[in-house]
Amino acid sequence: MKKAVLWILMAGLLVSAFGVASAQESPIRVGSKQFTEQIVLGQIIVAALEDAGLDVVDRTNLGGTQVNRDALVNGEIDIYAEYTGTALYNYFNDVPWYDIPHEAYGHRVLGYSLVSSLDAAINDLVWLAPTPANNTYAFAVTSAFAEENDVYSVIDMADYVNDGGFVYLATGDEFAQRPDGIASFEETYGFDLTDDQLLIISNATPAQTEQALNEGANDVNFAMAYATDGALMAYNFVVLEDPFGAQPIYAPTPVIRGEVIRANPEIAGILNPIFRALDNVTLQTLNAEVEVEGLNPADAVRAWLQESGFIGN
Amino acid sequence: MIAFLGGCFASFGFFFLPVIEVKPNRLASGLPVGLLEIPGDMRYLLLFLLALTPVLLAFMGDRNRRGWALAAVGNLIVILTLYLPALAGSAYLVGAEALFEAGTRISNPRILSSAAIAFGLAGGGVVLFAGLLDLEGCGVPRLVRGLAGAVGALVVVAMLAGGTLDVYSIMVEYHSRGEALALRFLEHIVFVLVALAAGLIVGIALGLWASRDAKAEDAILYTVGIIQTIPSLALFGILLVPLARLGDLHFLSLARDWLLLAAIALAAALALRRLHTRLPERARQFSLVAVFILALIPLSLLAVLIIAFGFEVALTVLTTSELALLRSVTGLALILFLILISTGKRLDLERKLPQYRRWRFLPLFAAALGALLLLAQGAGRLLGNSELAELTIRDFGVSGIGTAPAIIALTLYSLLPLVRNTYAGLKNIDPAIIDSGKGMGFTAAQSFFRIELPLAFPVIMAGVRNAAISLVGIAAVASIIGAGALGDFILLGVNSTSIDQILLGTVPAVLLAVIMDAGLKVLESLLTSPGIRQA
Repeated sequence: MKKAVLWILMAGLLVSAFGVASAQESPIRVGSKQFTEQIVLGQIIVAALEDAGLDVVDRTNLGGTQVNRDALVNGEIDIYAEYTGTALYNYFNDVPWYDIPHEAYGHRVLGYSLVSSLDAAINDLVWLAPTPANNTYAFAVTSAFAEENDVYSVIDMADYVNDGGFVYLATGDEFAQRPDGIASFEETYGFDLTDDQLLIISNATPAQTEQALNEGANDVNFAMAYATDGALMAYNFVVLEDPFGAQPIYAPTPVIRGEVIRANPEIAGILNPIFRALDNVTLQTLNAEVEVEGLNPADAVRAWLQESGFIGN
Repeated sequence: MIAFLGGCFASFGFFFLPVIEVKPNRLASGLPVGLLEIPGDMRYLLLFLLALTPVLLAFMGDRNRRGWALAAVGNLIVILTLYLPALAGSAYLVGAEALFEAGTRISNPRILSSAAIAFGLAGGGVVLFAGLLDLEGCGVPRLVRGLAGAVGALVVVAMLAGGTLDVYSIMVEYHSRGEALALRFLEHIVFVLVALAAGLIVGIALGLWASRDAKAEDAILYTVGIIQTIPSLALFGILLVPLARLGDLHFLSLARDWLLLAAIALAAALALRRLHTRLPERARQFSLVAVFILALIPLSLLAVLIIAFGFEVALTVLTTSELALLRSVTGLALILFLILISTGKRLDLERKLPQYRRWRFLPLFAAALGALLLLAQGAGRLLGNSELAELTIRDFGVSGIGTAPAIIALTLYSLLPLVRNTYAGLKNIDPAIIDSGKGMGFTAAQSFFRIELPLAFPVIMAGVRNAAISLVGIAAVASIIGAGALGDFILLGVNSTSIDQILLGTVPAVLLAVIMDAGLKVLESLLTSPGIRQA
């Protein structure tokens, strides 16, 4: 009996190993970080490439920034949408032969051309056309608070803080500590928040800080937010304007491995017009549809792509 | 007494806490509504009074009657706790616009089940449990008790399937993005089982080693303890890059290198075996360690490959629709075998029907044959489309993101309870029993398989159950490296503060942990040697 089992096993393995022998083109693996806007962007890429008849593997909802970047550089995924600002700040600090000039952070074209050329030279990654959107960090307050204290921009906020108004700001640790985070606002608009005025939530996404503001937990009255966040609509919040551009530009842009775009050059032609059409309002609307109304991301994205004529029905 | 507590619990919840929250959209927090605030209907008051009845019933004298009454009330509380608020919720949703202040964005409003529902379900469950305890005391057969206990759950399942409870936000969430839930649930199960199987092999070996070798004892127990303290986030991150490099390798070249490494290790081991009596003490220890490290590399490579490939094959086998027939035949054969074994033990058929003994293992052979065919099919499906020279390790499921790092990490995390319990189980055997085995002429292997393993088995199984439940929890974190499983819902839900989405992943995970524990308990009672089974 043992022998018979062994024979069956051998036969099965042989059949399977030499059953069909034809190499096929590897599918395109699409990644994304683990929050709503990234899922939306990832699903846009998936839907557009699938509609063009390409073989796509949906690896969206992958993890944090570092996991996606490592996966892309190491060839575990082929494409995902990254923000120009994130790349400028994080990915080229250990490049010994080039220092990123300070003015690149707030400059849309300069920032994009720098990250795209550096990534092409170092990692053989290609940055496709960027969106006109800017998903940068911002401060959010409730509309009641904005009306009462007449705070609609960071200039107003600086006045409010300097007049000794009560501030308790819910923020993630990254935004609180990075030089381009709160510190950059403070420098540009001339105010200073002490540590007692910050509620620092480790690893918090804007969704969590916004919820803290909405619930009024711990008397929070300001919250870190993303400018394109869909939840802002749900909570009836006001996003404070940043007229002096204290924040770098975070334009979502699909980044693809060089190998893959050379094998499928048509991808650029498919994705570029779509991402050029994704401005702040469009992105915020899509985010809100998913996050606030609870639509399935794939359905929401497909509906928008069809409406805009990017994909067929 | 228990029923008294359950009744108090449920009625406390209904009186003081909100039953439902009416949410204007998916994110914004809702308007809490208490059970007694729901206007214009006596049914909600009745539910409150129903929750109070166990408090009175607890003082009833006749135990049999009390048991039946409590079981009925418990089931009714469970059913109505879900059903009535759902009705009220639908009524609230019709006029949702009027409930909220102007300017609130109302889109896709829904009903969040609130604290009182949890209290009601828990209280109802406790009352039911008390009733079943009473019935057990009166000698009501087990089957009848089981049926009485399952009525509430069955009705709830029927209501879920029938769409009666669709108004709850978790069901809204399920309908909008739950299409992957079944697959993610399956992934979660296979994750835990594959990691558990791999951990079991390594863990028992290490536990055996630790119990036999006093020198290695501390080192092994400390090492598995330290592994347990590494945060899972860090472990997943560390594994990404080396596994990605490994995945890039071509299968053939890795196979060649592996054979080379294995041959070197084997040769070194053989040479050491020849030489070690002649070497001085220090050199002998040093060379032992060197050979061990040499052997560790090919062994761990092989383990990683087998585990990762095993997961991919298992998932392919379970999800491929063409294999449904083979799958069900194999499963039926396995179940048949288990039934035959358990009835055989109970009825002692072997004595009455001598020929039964011979056929008893036939279903097991059928199941094994089916499993082998399934494995071959799964492997064929995964590798069938590529040429041998083109195959990379990634085709075998080893890559920096996805299942491979997740399974490796889970296997490592399962080691602590498995090694500890194996060690404790083996260490606590009375040496006199082993000695008596020796006296009967048992070889070392016979002594292990016939004396030590059966005696240590209950302790080892306790470790397995422990490991299984903790793995169900840790497997949720694997989503951060793209491994899927239920963490996809939980982590995305946490990141977007959507309670509904978190619950959509959490409720199945909790159910899985409970079911897995119960299943392993049954397995334990089936496999425990009859000689040491507790009466």
